Amino acid sequence: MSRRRILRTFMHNRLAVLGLIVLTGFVCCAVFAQWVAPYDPLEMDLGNKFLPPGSEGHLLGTDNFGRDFLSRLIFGSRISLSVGLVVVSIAMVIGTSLGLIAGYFGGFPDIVVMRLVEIFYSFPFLVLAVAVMAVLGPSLYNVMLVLGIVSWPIYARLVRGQVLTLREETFVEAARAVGASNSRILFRHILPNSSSPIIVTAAMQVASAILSVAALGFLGLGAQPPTPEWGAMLNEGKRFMRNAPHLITIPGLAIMLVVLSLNFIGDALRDALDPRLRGIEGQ
Amino acid sequence: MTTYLVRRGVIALFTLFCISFIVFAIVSLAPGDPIQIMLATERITPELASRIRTYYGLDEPWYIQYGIYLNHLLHGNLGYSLTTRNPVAASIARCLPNTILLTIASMLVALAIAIPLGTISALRRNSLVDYVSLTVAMIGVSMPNFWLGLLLILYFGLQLKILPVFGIGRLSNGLWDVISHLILPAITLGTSMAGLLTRLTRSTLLDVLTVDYVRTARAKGLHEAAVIYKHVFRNALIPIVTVAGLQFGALLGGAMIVETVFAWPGMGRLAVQAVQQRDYPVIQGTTLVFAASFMLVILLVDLLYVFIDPRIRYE
Repeated sequence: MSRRRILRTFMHNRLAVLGLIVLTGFVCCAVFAQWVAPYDPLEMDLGNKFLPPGSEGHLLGTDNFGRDFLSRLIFGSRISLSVGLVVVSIAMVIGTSLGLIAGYFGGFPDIVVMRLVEIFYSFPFLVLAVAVMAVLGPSLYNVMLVLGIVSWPIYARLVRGQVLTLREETFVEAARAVGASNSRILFRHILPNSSSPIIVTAAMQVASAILSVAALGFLGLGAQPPTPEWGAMLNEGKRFMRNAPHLITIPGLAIMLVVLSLNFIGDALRDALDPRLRGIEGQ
Repeated sequence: MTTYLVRRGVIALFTLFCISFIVFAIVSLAPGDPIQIMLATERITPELASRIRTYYGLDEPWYIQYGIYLNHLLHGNLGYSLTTRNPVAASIARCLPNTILLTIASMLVALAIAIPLGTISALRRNSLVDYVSLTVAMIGVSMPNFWLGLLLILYFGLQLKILPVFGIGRLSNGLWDVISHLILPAITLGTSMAGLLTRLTRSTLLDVLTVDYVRTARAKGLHEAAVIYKHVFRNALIPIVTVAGLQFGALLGGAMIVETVFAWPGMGRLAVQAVQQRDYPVIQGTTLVFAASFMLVILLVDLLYVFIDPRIRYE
């Protein structure tokens, strides 16, 4: 499919375009946080605690330490988005490599990788992540590492399937006939041809990674206060929700908007890049 | 069928074995041994310390320790909590039924939303109804469930004051006590699953609606309701049941969070508390039981196929 056609299919989906606009807004906030945020996200002002949204000088109010909530939210977008990307990158690199090896070479490597995939799949995802976090100790760095390591199987299974079908294609046979090495066939022929489903899956996985990061933060196992991570902010704010409900409504809304945008974009990407994937989400 | 069952059983046992090793390994890699952790919060006598050492084989190499762990496991012994000293198996046995109750209720909530919504969506494809229900489904998937839980607490618990927001009901206080405590957590946990299943129901029904036997059924003048019910629905059930089964793992993970939000005395809350207190035997036990129950559900789903679709025979 031509690039223009892909773009047209994508832009035709109004929700995806809306998602793209919202996401771009968050990305800009994340990148230019120092300039966009009106205050330092860690600066306390104990004289102005729990100001409601719309207060003078504090558009989204202040939290239990009088910190400007908008600034914390803006710096939080930096954490959520970058951690989501790192998690998916780690998982994608591990999963894709193992999937390529399993699919291309078959035999023993295939059995080992697929057994590993099965074992990882038999753990409820978040349960395993929480157990490992318990051992490594709570920190944002560990969150990235753990979520990355725990979520690779989806890519391994996907890539393996792709390789198994592509391996028999004529162009791979031709490449082999002219004496191309295994790595050349894998990286120049097979991988580029299986990139669409990988990209689509990755887009969706960034969304679920952001949700998982926030969940761990909320359980107190991720970013630690005073880091303005959205999940951790919710965890801090829940004690004051009766008197200052904006401390829980606003960060949750931010998480939802980002995840929703990513999901809309992922959906449209799938329709544009790889219509065959339609209808198998959640497997 | 019997050979299939045996084969599945053997594979399940092997997987369980691997899981037990991973769970054991995770905790063995943790810094500090149980005695140091116990010493951090209380004084224990040297005699007790040495008894614990022999009990877990802490002075032995890791494979002996794993052997001891497996041996305990096979006797239904999951070790003792480092904080309460209670047997882990007993704590889990107390919490597990509550978690099962919550997950089943959530699954029912999810199905009760997803199947009607997905069906209407598929039958009225590209209509306003379809558009709205798909968007709602997507919002359901994208909402962090702990946030939804907090919002429900804020609105129904603190503002309207019509539903309890903490803990679990007792049957001795009447059925309503149990149900009223269950409503908010079950909605919270069921929502993201409902979103996913709505989308799936819709796409599966759309696939089935275009096959030949549906056209034939309509052509012979069958009532539309009968077509949908007898021909479309029964054939669409398999993917729905599969995904519902696979998503059970997500439900268990979500239960950890939702139970924490609503102080629901289940296994998820037990696990989260254990993690916060670095109570490793409890972490090991709950992780193991979570994984084992997930595996069991997947197995049950596979067996359920035979009843849904008589064409499937495991020979």
